[in-house]
Amino acid sequence: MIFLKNVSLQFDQKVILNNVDFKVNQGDRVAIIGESGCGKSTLLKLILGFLQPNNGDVLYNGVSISSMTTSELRSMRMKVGMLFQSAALFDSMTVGENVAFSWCENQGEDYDKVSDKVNEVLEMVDMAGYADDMPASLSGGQRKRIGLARTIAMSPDVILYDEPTTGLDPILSTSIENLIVKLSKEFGITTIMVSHQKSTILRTVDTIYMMNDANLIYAGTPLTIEKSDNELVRNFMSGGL
Amino acid sequence: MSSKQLIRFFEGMGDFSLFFLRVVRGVFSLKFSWNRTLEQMVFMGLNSLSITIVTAAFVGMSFAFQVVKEFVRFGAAGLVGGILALAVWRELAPMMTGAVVAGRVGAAISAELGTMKVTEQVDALKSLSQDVILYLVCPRVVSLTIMMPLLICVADVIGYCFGFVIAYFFGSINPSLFLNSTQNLAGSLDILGGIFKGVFFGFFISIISSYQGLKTHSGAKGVGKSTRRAVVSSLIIVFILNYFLSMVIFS
Repeated sequence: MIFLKNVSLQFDQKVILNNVDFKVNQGDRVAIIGESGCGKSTLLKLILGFLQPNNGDVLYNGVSISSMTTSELRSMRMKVGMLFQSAALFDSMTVGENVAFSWCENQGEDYDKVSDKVNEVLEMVDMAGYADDMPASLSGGQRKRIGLARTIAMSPDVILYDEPTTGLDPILSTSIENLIVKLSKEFGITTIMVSHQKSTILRTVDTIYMMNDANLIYAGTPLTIEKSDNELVRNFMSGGL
Repeated sequence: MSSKQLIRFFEGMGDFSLFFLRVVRGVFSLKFSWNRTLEQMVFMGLNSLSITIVTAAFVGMSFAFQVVKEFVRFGAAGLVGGILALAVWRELAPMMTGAVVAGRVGAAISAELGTMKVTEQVDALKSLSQDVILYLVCPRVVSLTIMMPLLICVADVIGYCFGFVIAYFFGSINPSLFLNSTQNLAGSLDILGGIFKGVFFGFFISIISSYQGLKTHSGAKGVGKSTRRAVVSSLIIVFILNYFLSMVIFS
């Protein structure tokens, strides 16, 4: 489904990714972990086609993202949603308008006609009754849930999560983690997550990749990662890095 | 200027040229939202009306005050109306409106897009399958290109009328003499030429400010920096364009 083939990327003289190679299949739940600035979020931007690799290729369903035309890229992005670290809600729109954005802008539907669908999606993320609120009045956790609702509304095949639980209290984190797992299990949505949160990673994914200094240094599962031979991986998981 | 700075300058120019071409293509594709364009026209045009009126009134009055004083001294009171009309319609109203809009609207465009950029809203738009140029930039460029000439029309009327008031009260210039002189010295080209400048001013102010906004990085400090750059670049381009357009239109 998504295949990063020997991807390298550098800005000026700084190497961000060095020969990164990994594959994600339909329905997989994958986390990419690593220190801040090691290139994790850049990977997500490459998958969405926001950035182009200097070497290698990013393939979506076998098609190279760098060779896609603008309209092909836009069609691809309809199938690959993203939950941003800050939720990135449009602050000039209400919560409902944010959720309905894809229906209104991509499918040309009237907001009034999709309000029932908006409420359904809001219910799914436990935010029913917030459709008329403005994003500025929401807490961090609520914003993330609305961000997720906006992504779900696109009916994506893949959701990319950029630090979905960072900065949230344990209760909110758990509710977001449950949502991620629910979306994956009930709708078969592929999950690719970038996170620092050990608890989130262990609860939500099946495969973990670790990055260090622009390289992918580990691939394993939540069960094996803490027993890894690699000291960097063990230190990261025990919080000692 | 070091070679590194020179390379950066040309890289920046190349980047801006590509952005410019994408915007022009987007505008002519007519695929942008007219509802959002109308919203922007209200924001940019109607909301800039009061500041345009105040500026034009005082520019017209200041100019008239100086001209009346000197022309009456040299016995050329009969030329005041025409000179005021030529100055206001050809140069003062377009340039002052351009400067006011560059400050008010240019800063607003850059700050708004810059804030959207640093809060990842621009990336969110892209991830929701939107074309940022069509969604954010084209409506702003089209609306300011339309509204700027209209604002200059208002500035023309206000500047001329307030200049007339000063000429009448401070120079005791006969109204019919004032109007006759305007008719003799100024023509429709002077009015239309000045208004026509507005098309270019509006287009360049909006495109430069959008570009600076979308290039923002480094948080709140970055937003301040790009806003400052947008206003300064827009002001400079207004003055440069004004000179060359005057050369072409009124030569």
